[in-house]
Amino acid sequence: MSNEKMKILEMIQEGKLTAAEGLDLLKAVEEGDLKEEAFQKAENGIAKREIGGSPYGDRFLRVRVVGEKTLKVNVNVPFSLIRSASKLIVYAMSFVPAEKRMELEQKGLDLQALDVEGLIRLVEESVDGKIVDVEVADPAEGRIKVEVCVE
Amino acid sequence: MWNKSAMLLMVQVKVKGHWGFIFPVPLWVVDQFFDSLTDLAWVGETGLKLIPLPQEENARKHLRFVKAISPSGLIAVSHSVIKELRGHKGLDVVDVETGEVRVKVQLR
Repeated sequence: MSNEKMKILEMIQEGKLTAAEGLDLLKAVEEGDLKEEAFQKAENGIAKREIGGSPYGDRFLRVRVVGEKTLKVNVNVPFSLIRSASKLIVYAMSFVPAEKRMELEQKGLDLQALDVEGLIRLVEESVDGKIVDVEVADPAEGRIKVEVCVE
Repeated sequence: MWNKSAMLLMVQVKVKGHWGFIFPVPLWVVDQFFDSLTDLAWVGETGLKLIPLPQEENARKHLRFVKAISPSGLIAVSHSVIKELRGHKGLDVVDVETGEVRVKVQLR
């Protein structure tokens, strides 16, 4: 096995790279187009992630609900925390009984194929700004504005 | 252990004009708790593995399910969430105000 491949596998084992990132790098090695700069790029990403928890900096999922009268909700969740919690979701899904899992599969929902961590990574990497911006009228509260954004 | 800088999860509940309380949760205590719990769960898991499966089908099914669960894994993941929280000093996680009640969760 080449040195590059070994290095990539070691990085995955140490948790410095995700399996998907490692696979991309391995493919690049096999295709012979992995340049020194690609490695440098990957290592830079790791260094940033080690310092700030994410190569995209410290990003937050913010939920804001503001009512005309008294309702005020402000929730800020760092993505690094969501990433950690996503493992809990994946773990919790393993508790779903086999027969219920089969039932869901028949309805077209394969729990094992659900990549929660990937979904969160995708949101973190590709979404910037508002995801939800809704305004509703409530008889008691008046107008309520709901905002969910990634910052 | 005692000279660790304490980081608190402050849970603040306030009812306008009536009463309110602040409940500080020292995160390092939760951290240590999860550390001990992981070891305890591992001991339990190891002991559970030694129990033979019963003959009766229903009991057999239940025990097989219990054996398949890894509490130490679950605790380890919850522990990592707490560790992650410790890195966000000063963050206002939740701030909810509805009428007379205000609930605030802060990291200090």
